Amino acid sequence: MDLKKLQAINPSEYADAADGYRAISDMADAAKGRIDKQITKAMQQANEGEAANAARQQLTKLSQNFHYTQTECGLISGALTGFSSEIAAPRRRLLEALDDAKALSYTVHANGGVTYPAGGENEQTGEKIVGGTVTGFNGIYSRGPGPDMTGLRSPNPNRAKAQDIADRVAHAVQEAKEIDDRYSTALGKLKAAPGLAVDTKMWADVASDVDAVSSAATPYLLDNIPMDKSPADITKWWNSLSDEQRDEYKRGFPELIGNLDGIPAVVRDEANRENIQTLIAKLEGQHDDDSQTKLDGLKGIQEKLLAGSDPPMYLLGIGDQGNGRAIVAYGNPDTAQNVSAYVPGLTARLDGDFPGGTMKRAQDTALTAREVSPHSSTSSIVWLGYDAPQLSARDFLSSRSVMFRDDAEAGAPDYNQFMAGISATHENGDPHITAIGHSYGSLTVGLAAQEKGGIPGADDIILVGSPGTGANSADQLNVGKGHVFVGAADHDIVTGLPSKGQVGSGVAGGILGSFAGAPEIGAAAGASAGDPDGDDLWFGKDPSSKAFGATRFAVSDGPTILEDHGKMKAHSNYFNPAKDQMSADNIARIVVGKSDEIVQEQPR
Amino acid sequence: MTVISEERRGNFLGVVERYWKSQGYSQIGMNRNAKSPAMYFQTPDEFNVRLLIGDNGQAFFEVATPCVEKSSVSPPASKTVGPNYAGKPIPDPNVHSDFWSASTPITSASPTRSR
Repeated sequence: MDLKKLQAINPSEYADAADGYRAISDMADAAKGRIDKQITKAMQQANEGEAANAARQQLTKLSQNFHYTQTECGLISGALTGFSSEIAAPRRRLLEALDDAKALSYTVHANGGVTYPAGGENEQTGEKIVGGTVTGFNGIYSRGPGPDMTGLRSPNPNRAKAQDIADRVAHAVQEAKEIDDRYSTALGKLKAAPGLAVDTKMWADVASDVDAVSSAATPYLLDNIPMDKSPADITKWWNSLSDEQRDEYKRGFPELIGNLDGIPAVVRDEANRENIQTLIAKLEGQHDDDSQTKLDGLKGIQEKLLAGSDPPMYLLGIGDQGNGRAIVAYGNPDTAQNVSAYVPGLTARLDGDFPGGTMKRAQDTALTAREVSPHSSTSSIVWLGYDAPQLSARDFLSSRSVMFRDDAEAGAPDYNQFMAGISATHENGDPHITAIGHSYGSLTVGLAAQEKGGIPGADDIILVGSPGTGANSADQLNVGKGHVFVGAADHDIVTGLPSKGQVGSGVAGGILGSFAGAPEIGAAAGASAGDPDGDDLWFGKDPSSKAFGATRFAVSDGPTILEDHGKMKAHSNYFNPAKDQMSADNIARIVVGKSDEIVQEQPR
Repeated sequence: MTVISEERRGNFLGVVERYWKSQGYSQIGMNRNAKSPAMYFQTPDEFNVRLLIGDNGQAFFEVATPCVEKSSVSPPASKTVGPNYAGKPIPDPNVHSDFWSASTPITSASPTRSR
């Protein structure tokens, strides 16, 4: 990149090329769709024999090639769009400087130097001061003699003007160089070997290609997307784009668009169904335990996505950061009359148990809601958007467990951001929204609710299996006292833990002792000096206590720790109709806006 | 499926309750909401059964088995009395019954009201 090249460059050619690659990406996507239908048809006809198998294998390979083409061409398109957008500004500034030079009859050289004519007046001789040539300062300080400042006080007024033009030229060329380097590096990665043979290694590289393009285009993205504003602003921005522009963002920056609060659910789902495949390919190439654990989770989710489900799944978020990220909705949250978003707790992470366990709770809530209110539509979401503590049952029983607020404190603002997005993208603007916190997730929800303005859009809050919310009273949760509902099974030890003040006073030893011999553990911890009413838990007041002031709903007692051999099942049955239909029904009634119909329970 | 009027839903539960009790089921919970009642019973061999009336008047039965090892299960062999809606969206009740669809409450005392 130099002056001549920047002067000659035509940004709209790159924008056109970007459109071309995007069109190829769309075509490859359509071709893949047709081939997949062929494959499905062939499999249904169950043709046996080598020729049929070989044909099927070829079709599968072709499908994968088209898929790879679709993804990579989308990324190229994104890179070219970003480049064409960013290069326009320095080019315009260069052309303005060149125009100014022309108007003054200065000569601008290929190296950026500017030659200016004689001018001004020598005080003593009365003659014009000679002209000369200056070089520009591009704004980057380097070793050696600094920029030439001697002309600043020259009596030839042309010199100062020439210097200004030279500086502007140098700045523009430097900026263009930086932009060119950034995008060249990214585009250099988007290459395939001749005779395209898409293998696992190439797919594993796609994830880093996605990252490379997003990184390279960061200034372009920050410039165009109101990332520092609210999800409602993101929605407004998205709605202001043309269909082509939206297609461009989806194909060029799938990881960003799939996980951005304020983007409509069907768009996030479309992008994330691509992202999950990219992530699976990436993690298959990584052989450490953590990657393999996450891979189990991802594969389980992918299996369910491909099988289809009832209600249909929308993948609103997926990622491998921290313990993994997964946000799954059963039912479309942008069209449903009722939306619930549940935050899971202890031991929740992206692993093999997540699809059949944690995710299933959201599905069960949707299905039960459908029985309670067959004509209202419900979208039931599980939000694993933070790292939950990985404390096990054994940790609790040994009383060596310590719970900290940090994870919940980190998760709370992200949950609120997600909920703001849910409200912003809803198509008719006013669904009935329920925030649900299970286990440690009830602390995350509790802290989110206590932030200024509360949880965006939330009408009701449900807390089940809660070790505390960080609040001492239900009216601190910003939905009104009458809109906080609590489920606490008698044998759920997480809801009966002593507050930190009591651990030291030997109550924990009592719990251990109970496990060893006594038939069951009493629900409430004993009182102590730090907790005179005995109704404090790990994080503030027990939400099922009278003092907290929430409405307690009936749930089954659950098995005792002795009965289930220390597995703490009573902590995890609240959503499961097969284990606790009463609790599942009560949760569903609240979610569909019929909290007046629940069966209440005496507070502790 | 039979329309069970709001006034008769309590009676419907009462009839089912009497039968379940006669089979030795024990009650584990009850929701006495007039429009959308539900009841929860457990059988002698520890199946949990629940009857719920949804807000469209449809009756939903759920059965939970005790813990079992996962295995495939063949579909039920018995025939439905009316149309078979298995695997399809369940419609609103649409069959009139002189008794169950009547909009007057039953004048004689019923089990769910006498307590």
